[in-house]
This record gives sequence, structure tokens and C-alpha cells, in this order.
Amino acid sequence: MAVAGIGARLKRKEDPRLITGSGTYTDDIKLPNMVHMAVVRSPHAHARIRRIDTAAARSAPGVVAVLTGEELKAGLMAPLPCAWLYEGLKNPPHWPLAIDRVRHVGEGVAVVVAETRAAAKDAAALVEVDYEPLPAVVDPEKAMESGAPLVHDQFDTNVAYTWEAAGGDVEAAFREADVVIRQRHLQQRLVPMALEPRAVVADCHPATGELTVWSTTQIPHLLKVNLCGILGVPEHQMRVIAPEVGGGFGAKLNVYPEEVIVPYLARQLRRPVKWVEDRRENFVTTIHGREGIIDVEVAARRDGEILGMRINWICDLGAYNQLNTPYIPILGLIVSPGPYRHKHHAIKITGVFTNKTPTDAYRGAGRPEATHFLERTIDRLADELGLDPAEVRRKNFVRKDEFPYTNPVGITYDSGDYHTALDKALEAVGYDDLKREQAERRQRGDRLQLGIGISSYIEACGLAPSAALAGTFYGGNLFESAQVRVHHTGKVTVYTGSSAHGQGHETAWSQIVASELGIPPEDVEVLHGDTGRGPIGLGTYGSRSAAVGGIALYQALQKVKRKAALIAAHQLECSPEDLEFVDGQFRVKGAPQRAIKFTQIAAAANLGSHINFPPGLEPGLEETAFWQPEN
Amino acid sequence: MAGTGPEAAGQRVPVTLKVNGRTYTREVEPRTLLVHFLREELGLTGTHVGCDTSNCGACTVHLNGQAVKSCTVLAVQADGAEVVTIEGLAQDGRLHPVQEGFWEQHGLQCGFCTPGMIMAAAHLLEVNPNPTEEEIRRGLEGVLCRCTGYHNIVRAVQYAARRLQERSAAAD
Repeated sequence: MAVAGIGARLKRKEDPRLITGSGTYTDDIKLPNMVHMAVVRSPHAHARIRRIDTAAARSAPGVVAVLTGEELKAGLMAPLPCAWLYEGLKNPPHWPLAIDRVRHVGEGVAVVVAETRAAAKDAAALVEVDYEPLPAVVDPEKAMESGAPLVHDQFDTNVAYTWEAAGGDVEAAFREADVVIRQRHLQQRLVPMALEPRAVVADCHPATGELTVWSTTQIPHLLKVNLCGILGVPEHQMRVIAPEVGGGFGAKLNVYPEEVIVPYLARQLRRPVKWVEDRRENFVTTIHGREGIIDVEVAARRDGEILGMRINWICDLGAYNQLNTPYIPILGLIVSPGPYRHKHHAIKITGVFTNKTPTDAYRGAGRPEATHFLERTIDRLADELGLDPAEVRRKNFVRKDEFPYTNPVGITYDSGDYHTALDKALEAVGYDDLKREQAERRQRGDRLQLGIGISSYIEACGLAPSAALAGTFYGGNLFESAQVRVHHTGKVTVYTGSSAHGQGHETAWSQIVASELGIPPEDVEVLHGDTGRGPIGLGTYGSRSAAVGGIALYQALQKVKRKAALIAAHQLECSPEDLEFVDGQFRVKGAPQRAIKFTQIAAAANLGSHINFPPGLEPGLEETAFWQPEN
Repeated sequence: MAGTGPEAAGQRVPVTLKVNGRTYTREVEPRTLLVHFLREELGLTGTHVGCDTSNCGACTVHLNGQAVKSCTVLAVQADGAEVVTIEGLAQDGRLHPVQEGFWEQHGLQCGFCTPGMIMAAAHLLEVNPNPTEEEIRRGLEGVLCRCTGYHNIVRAVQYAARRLQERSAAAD
């Protein structure tokens, strides 16, 4: 009987706890003797901090501690990290609490810790901060002008970096063009708005000093390594747990000020500390997405053939470089030529500081931004030339026989058939009928007109391999890990480096195990989001979990099957090559009645000392894989 | 009311509530919201807080048979009332048809809005046992979901409506 493996329709294993309200999110964690933190935040976009008076707050009822930026900085080894190691990047130190200046509304100035959340908030309202408001700059383009207020006055500019990439001879393309289209795109800033606000709990063991941090994070291992460096806690004494996480969308893929302050306080006070974000705080302290001004120029022939493109992308970084803030447009740059085959392509990115909340990765992180300005410009070109937008795309798509295809900024697309994809989509939507209806409505001058939008896009997701991004100074690795432990009775525990926050990995990974080992998914437990259990992993973002985390699990399962085959071959007195694995059992090819169940192998490898075991082979049935995709 | 500033923070008032069939009495500050009473005083953390402006609906519970946002009810206002939270919806180990519907129809991903969504849907079906899709979508307007795009949530409620009608038909 085949088990419910990959492709089977299953009710999710995650749901029973979530539909009965018995899942544990970070704010649900309650520890004995726990105290609560509230943050005093700047109402100004840009101001000097002349004085902070915490006397009233310190004496308020229930207050346990008050902390300001200066004191906190003295206790830390390093500021908040930025994972982009490009030496051309101006990277001002970003301390968890402002020290002499606040540079965006909502930036933390001080924190208050008290016996209850309400007491902490009451006391935070008593902290008096003497601000000297300074002129703020909020438009990234104006911020580039000389004389604009400087967000970081240790630099003589608000330009954090520029980055250029080009292929072919763009000047020649524009000289030979029949028509040149210029189009400015304004991409607005947005708030990611996961339904669960951010929260952090930390507890320092009174005797061992081991620090446990629960946080609403997509990257428990990365967060842990960074916290070790910032707090000066050795890695073997730090454990980061992402319990249930209520959605991330990129906004929980960071190292936030509170993720440093809460564990710092837990160590100081030797009491568990909790902080939970209000939604109003979430609006101004959790990273924002997008915000750019992009000028796109296209050189083309009258028949719609694109000769070349010039793209000038001004990206609003906000006040500081958070974990991936300046790197986001680079992720857009690599797909900026899109699915089109023009050889002449030049793109310049300018990252600019403004007195606003930092921007960072949000749903697609750079690629949707590039797709938006590219596809809007293609539509403008078609409109200008009086051509059908679908035709202009067909004319310029990379052709099926040109793969693998390397685009003008050096990224190789290994395979594709863009023409068929577009034709199928147009057929599915009934494009010709829609165009006919559109024409009729225009002719009749109907009040309600019909718009038809087309977007053909390349998405560089399944974020890996490390080599592809290392060339652009990305400081992080991008493998993924999985550990498979087969127990005595054939049940299996999987530790995955992926960190689900709604994706359903527990169910999906159980199906991968079922397909590979022939055991039912309900006999598999998938553990994630806990650095205290399982190998280091890179977490969940960039649509990479199945593509990289799932394959890491598959690789670990192959190691398990190879070892299991040695045990089966020994007992069936044949060589491993003579065996096939079907429906959860090893069978001798051509003599299927000579078989042994996988669960018997598990027993043999664990406690079944009486079962015939290959001499010299180590007992146990547990394998780990770190999977680094080639492309 | 004696002073309303922090110095009055210490003043506490008794609140008695019957929650999921069990009666509790606690002394709380007058400003305590019902959602915090449920989560902090009673440890019923299944009800969630997703906003501070009554928008998201993750905190929806039943108060004397009405679906309410417990972040917008003071605990003292609920004194003497009967409350049902997500933890109390399943009866003697059997899931409520709405809970079943969400599981069957993949009506959730991260699960943070789910308790509020389920409580709102359960009350909707009490008021309107056979809602159209439009009525379901309007009935759940008070609860926001960021992951699913609502499509499977509607199907989950339709599933539950069918199950409830089957049950009442079987009972007749």
C-alpha cells in the first residue's frame, strides 16, 4: 500500500494546534518572575538628543530598570549587523538605542523594564527626552542634492553607495534607435504588516548563564550567530527559538534592536524579559518594503525590437543599513534585463539614506521592483509604437533555443520557453476576445473601460546558491541543512534548517520522508526553528525552503537509504546493488519475496542487537546533509 | 474615580467571568482589556492581539453569545458575563464544524488570525446557518488574514455550514 508521499492531498499536521488556539507564539510565552520592557521612541524624524531624564521613570511603581543608548552601547561588543560586505558601502554604526541623535520617527531612545506590561508603558511615558529637532530629509532624490540635511554627518553625503552593471554597447544602441522611450517610475514605500507583531522573550539560566531567546524570526540560526557577536555570548551558550511565527513576508528576516536589548537585559537582571510590539510601533520600527525612483530609457526599432536599456534606480534605504537593506536592489539588478534578449543594457543603483524607517527585504525583495518598472516600460513602448503589448514581448523574448542564456549583467538562465508561457496565458484568459471587447468599449465611449495587463517576469527565487551571490559581496551562505534520525520502531524525526512561519513544512517534509522511506507521514516528526536542536540552517525566505531545504532533506534521506541497504543486503545475503526499494521494503531484484521491511532495518540499527548486523558497520540510523545547490 | 494617572495604577477591581464553562474571579486594574484578562490572567493565549485599533479581529471571542473583539471590551464591562474562546469551541474532544472546515479546506497558514476567524465564523453560522459566499465574506469583514487571501477561509465556512445542516437534519 503506497503511503501518502509527495503530491498526496493531506490535511496539514500543523493545523490541529492552530485551530484550537493551543499553538505557542512568542507573546504566549509566560515565564515565572518575568518582567516586561517598553521602549521610549522618538517622535521626530531627525533630532539631537540633548538630555534624557529617567528619574521619574526609575521611581515609578513596579519599575525594575531603565536603560539608555549610552549605557547599552558600553555593554555591547558590536552594533546591529549589515550582511552586505561591499567596501564601497557607507555603513554608519547602528546601535540598538540612539545615542546622540535620532534619525527616524520611532527610533528607540531608552527602554523601561517593569513587573507588568502596563507598568512598563506607564513608566516609559515618564521618561523626559530633551530633543533639538533638526531638518529632516525624506525624499531620496532631494537627499542626493548637495546642501541636503545629512542623515549621518560623519559622511559628506546621503549617498550610501552606487553600483553599476552593464553589458554590450549601450551608447551605440541609443544612437541607432528609431525611437527612445523615457519613463520614470515611482515605487511607493509599504509596511509589510505580518498579522503577528514582533515580539522577543529572553531568559538567562541563573546558574549556567545559558541564554535562551524566543523571537518572531524567519532566521533563528542567523539571528543567534549575530546575537553571539553583539552580546559577547559564546555560541554554545546561546539558543534561539522561533516558536509559532505569525507570518513574516521578509519583515522578520533581520536583527532588530529589541532582539539585542531583551537578551542583554535578561543577562543583567537575571530575570526573563519580554517585549511585544504594538501595531503603532510596528508601523515605524519594523522594516518597510520597496520605495524607489527609477528612470528607464529604452532604445528600440519601429517594429518593437529592443536594442538597449539604461536604468537609473534611486533606492530609499531609510536611516540605517539593517541586515539586507542596501542589497535589495542588487537582487533586482540581476533580473533587470528580464526575459528579453537585448544585448545592450546598463543599470546604475544609488542607495540613499533618508530620515525614515529602514527599508529591507519584502516579498520578492528587489525582483518585483525590477519586474514592475521593466514591464511598465515595455507597455509604454508598445503604446508609443502602436503595437500589441503581447507582440512586443514575443519579439524580444529570449528564444527557446538560446538557453542556457547569459543576460547582459552576467546572470545565466539555464532553461526557459517564454513564448509558450505567454501564449498559454493569453489563451487561458481569452486575449483576443478581451481585445475585441476593449475596442468596442472604447468605440462606444462606455463609462466603464477595459484594461488588459501583461507581465512576463523572471523570478530569481529559491535563494541560492551561495556562489551566485558571493560575487556581489553578500555576506551570508545559502546552503540548507536537514538531519534525519530513524528511531528503533521506524518512526522518524527530522531537524530542518528551514524555519516555517505558515508555509506548512511539517506536512510537506513528512511527505518527502514518506516518499523516500515508505513510512506514513504521521510516523514522521519535523522540528524547526530551534538552534538547540538540529544543525545550523539558513532559514525561510526567498521561496527557498522547498527548493533548498526540501532537497537537503532528500539528500539526508539518500544517505539513510544507502546505510539501510548495507544492512538489508547483509541479511538477505546479496550485494546492495541487487536490491530495490519499493513500498517501504528492500527486495532482491527478480526475487521480490526475499524482502525486509525498512522498520526492521531501523530496529537492527538501533536496539536490535539480536538481529544480524553487518560487522564493522557502526550502529544507529541517523544522517545529516548540508545542501549547496549548483545553480 | 480616584486619580486616573499611573499612581492609580495600583487600584484593582474584582471581575468574575464564566469562560468556556468555568467561572473565574480576578482582581484587575479597571483599564484591563478583556483580551489581556483572558491571556494574562487566565492564560488562555489562543486569543491573539494583532493591532491596537480594533481593526484585525484576531481577538474575536463570544461574549454572551455575541462575537466581539475582546481588545475593545474592558474586562470590567464583561463582569458576570459568559465568554467562549477558541479553546472552548471544541466540545468533549470533538472539533466544532468550523474548526474541522478550516482543517479540511486549508483555511489557514500561519494561524495567527485563525482563532478570531473561527470564532467570527462560528457566530456567523449561528445567525445565518446557510449563508451565500457574499454573506460569508461580509460576515468575516471584521477579521483580517495576511496569508491566505480568504478563498479557502470562505470554503471552510461553507464546509462547516453543510456539516451543521447535516447534524441538525440528523437530529430531527
